[in-house]
Amino acid sequence: MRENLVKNLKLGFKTNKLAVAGLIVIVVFSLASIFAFLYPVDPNAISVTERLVAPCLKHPFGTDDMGRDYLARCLYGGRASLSVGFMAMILSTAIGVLVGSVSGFMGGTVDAILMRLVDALMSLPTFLIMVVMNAYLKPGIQNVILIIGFLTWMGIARIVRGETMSLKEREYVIYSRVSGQSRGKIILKHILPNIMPTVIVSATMNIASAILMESALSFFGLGIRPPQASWGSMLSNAQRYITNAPYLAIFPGLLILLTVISFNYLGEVLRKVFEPK
Amino acid sequence: MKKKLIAGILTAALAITAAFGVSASAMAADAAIGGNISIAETADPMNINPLYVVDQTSFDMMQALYAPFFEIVKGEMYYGNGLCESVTANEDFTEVTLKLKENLKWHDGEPLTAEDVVFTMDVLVDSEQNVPYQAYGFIDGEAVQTEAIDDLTVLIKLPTSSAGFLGGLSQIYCIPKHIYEGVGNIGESELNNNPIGNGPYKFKEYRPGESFIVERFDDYFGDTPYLDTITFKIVKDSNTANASLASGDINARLISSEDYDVVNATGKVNIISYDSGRVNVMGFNQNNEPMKDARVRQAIAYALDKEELVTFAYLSSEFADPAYSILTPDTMYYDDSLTQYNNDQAKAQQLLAEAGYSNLSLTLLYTATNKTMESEAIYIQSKLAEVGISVELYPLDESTYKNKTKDREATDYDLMLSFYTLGAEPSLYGDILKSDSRSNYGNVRDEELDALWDKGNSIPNGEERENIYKEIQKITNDNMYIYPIAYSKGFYAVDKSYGGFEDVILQTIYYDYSKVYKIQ
Amino acid sequence: MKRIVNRLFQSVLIMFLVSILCFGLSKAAPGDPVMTYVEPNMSEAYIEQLREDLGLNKPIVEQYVIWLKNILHGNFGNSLMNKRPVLTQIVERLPATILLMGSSLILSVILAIPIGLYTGKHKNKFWDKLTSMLSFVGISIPTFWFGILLIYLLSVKMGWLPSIGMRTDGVNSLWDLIRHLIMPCAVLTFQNVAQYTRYIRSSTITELSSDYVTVQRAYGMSEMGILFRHVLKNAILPMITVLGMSLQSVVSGAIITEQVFAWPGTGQLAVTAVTTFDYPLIMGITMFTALLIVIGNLLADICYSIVDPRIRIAKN
Repeated sequence: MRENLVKNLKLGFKTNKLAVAGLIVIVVFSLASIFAFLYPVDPNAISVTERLVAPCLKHPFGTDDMGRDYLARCLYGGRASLSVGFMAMILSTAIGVLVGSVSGFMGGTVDAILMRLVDALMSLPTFLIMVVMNAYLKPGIQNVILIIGFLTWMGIARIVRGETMSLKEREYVIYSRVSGQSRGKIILKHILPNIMPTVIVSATMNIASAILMESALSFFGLGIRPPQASWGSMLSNAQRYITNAPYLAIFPGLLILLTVISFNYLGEVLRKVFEPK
Repeated sequence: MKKKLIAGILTAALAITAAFGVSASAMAADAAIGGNISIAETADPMNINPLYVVDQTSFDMMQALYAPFFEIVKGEMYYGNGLCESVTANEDFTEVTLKLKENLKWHDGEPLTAEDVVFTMDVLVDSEQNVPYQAYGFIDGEAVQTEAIDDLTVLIKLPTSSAGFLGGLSQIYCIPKHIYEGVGNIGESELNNNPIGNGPYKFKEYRPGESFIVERFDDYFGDTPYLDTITFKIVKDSNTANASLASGDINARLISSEDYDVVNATGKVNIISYDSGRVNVMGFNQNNEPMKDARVRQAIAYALDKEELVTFAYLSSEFADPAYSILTPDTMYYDDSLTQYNNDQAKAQQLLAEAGYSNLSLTLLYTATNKTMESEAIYIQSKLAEVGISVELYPLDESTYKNKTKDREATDYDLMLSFYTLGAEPSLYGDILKSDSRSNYGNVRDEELDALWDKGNSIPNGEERENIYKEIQKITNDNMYIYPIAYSKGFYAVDKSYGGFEDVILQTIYYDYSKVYKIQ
Repeated sequence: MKRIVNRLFQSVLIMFLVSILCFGLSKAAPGDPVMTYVEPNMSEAYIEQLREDLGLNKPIVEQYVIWLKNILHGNFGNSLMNKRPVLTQIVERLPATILLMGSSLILSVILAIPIGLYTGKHKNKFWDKLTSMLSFVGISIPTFWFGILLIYLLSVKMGWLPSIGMRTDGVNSLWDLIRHLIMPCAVLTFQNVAQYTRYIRSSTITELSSDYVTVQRAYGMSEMGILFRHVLKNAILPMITVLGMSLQSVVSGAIITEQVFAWPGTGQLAVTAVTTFDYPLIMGITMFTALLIVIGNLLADICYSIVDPRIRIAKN
């Protein structure tokens, strides 16, 4: 089984050149932000005189409204955005798949309790939860990941539950049940692989929303604290300068877009690997 | 001495009325009659009743519907858009007589008389009615008494003499007796949703979340307003509002200095700048140990470069002036000779060493949505790092910030950014520094200073009063209780096809909308 | 039938749960709600009076019981901000939001289903790649950016469409309303379609490769028949869930879109409520939204059984 996966994965990459490109992009972005310190410019050094300088030799990405080097901010911002996007996605997908598959498979009371809980949590306005959390949590990247993960798993849970409910009535699952396989085993062996395609689609979309949600959090003083950079907050700050300094939006915007596309192509390969044969 | 000042006010007022009489009759040459202007507001109005107005939006809209008794413009009486023709006081300032203009009318056609003024003043001091401006009707805890002499004359008796009373009275607006008489809780009355005013425009329609529309009042006592209607449009997002200004969906809006270049570049608007009367400051939270030490506060002042800070946060030295006193330059007894803490890092480090602090780590509170504050905060953070003080930024959303700064026991921040607008009367500035004041954001507790504020409030204008306020400014500055940052300007962006805005803005946030017109 | 009754009972239960959570959260929020509305020159007595009026001096459980009793009688209290009844304020904003969200939701489904099916069937062909790319853009671009770009392009540059609001003063025509609706609706639809097509495409691919379809093909069923009779039925499952979840947004509104286009709907009301910490309004909006989520999920569950009879059979 394991060997099969690896083989499929290799095959997937071999036949899908875009996925290879996606992998390269993500690796390059990750390395660039991890080794951001190699670019010898302080991302938080302000300047009264060099504000909103268009891209030039000294500042390849220009400077922002506080005279800070935009390339340096993009590099360091990648740290925050990539880790928030990826980790929050993992967290929300994990909780969502767990709750959704258990709920859908078990049905009955368990399903009712779990789904009503999901309903209740989804009814509460995100803004209210943010304001309350703001009072009790210190800002910091772990908390940003926790909050976003906590606020976004319900959607996946509901989708997974729906698919599971439909899957468990299919012949082969019924057959496994009749032949006395344990529930956990059935979920792992028959249900999970079949819901993977949908899960991967929503997971890859969650990366984008997590990256963007982080900038909404900083609006409440909860996200990455200024002066630290993140792509999301750079993008929302750039709004004001849409006419006189459009490059402020283009750089972080392209970085987010490329990240999202790359994860999606990777997802495509993964999807294929899990596709029921 | 006091008599002299009043005399001064009154003669000046006369002169202004006379001058105004001439200029007002000459209609602007390029003015069209009719049309509409759309003015952007950032929120829905909370309560349009002028006695209960507390938010900026309601205040802006209310001024189209209601006329003040009079205004005090640059320290002088101004009757141009007021209900009063004259205001006189007796010698010891215990009796104030208001003389109303003739033929005043409410928007429903009823005549406005002295009875309405008496009713308004009675509501003001009625503790059951909870008017937020109540304090203006009380002097030393005792209510003023108002009576009508005849249809056009009102006599207000003050319990003791008070030079500051007129300042408060200028912020009170008359409400109609025939509408509100007998209403138990005027502030929460349904009647406020259909306001009957006396100003140049009358209420037409309110669409929640969308717009608030007023139309010309033909029986207005002043010159007939030019425009048919004014539409206050509710646009929360400032970037959208800038774009709408460029597309012509909005014709006028207050902008901040960050918007200046973007809005100016559209070429569609004139930007009128005016003195906002605003003092932008940094407070030190004296609930926390390091902030109690004057040397630490002074060290922070020396570590910063105020001019650089102002240019950085306000984008241009033309948008704001560095502030050195807690009073604005227009305030009576403003002292321009205070010691300036010019940037001196060696001195800052020396003071910190004397106070016994090294590697100080402080938290700076500000409003996350305020771009200027964010710039100030980031500058302060990077500048204080140079003398070894690390600053952690603590941005909060507006309502949490408000709640936090009103908590006089708060200890979770050391520094905070804030601003205040308190006008030309120096005693009002006690609000931000007196031990028992709710707005004493720095939690300053200085008995000597408290005594000076109290004394300054109760003695007549003159040399002694002047010395008291100079002393207050000096003590505050020497102890560095508050770090004044800047006196910032306000900007009103107006579509080029409209005129008269120079006359619309009387001062800071006081407007006379009857002066705005569409250019032919 | 028994199932539906059971489900209704659960719905009441969840509303109760939400009411506790919502009340608890509002109480857990930082600061004193009254202090937000206190002006420096208000007297202590007045502030005390405010507290008394709001019942803030009572024990917390009693406050909850009173509040719950009131909302069961349809009394959501008065907003702190403008003293107007909460329910009135929500109801007067509803038409704007229902119009905007409803039209974009319908448009999104109409567009997403054929695009999703087509691109799933013709996977990795030109049109698939193009729509994929567009949907990535739709997912990655923040709403506020897309909105402001449209305003600059279509209102400021071209002058074709009004930038804000939902009608021109004095004009009361359908055409005027549509002109105002185009941009906010386009922003929402673009983002919805971007998401929905991903789900449908993915399910389509999975379904097309299933044994079931292979068998159908072997029996000579036409491709169109397979696509619409069998694939669509299964591919639409995750969509139903997503739509069920979207129903609440028809009423709670799209906060950012409404803000960017100054659309006078409930989303803006929610923002105002939170930013001014108007907690009766916050709680009112929350309860209202919760009710719609419950209804939305109920409908989604019922749709599930209709679309996928296997679930229904199993239940019975």
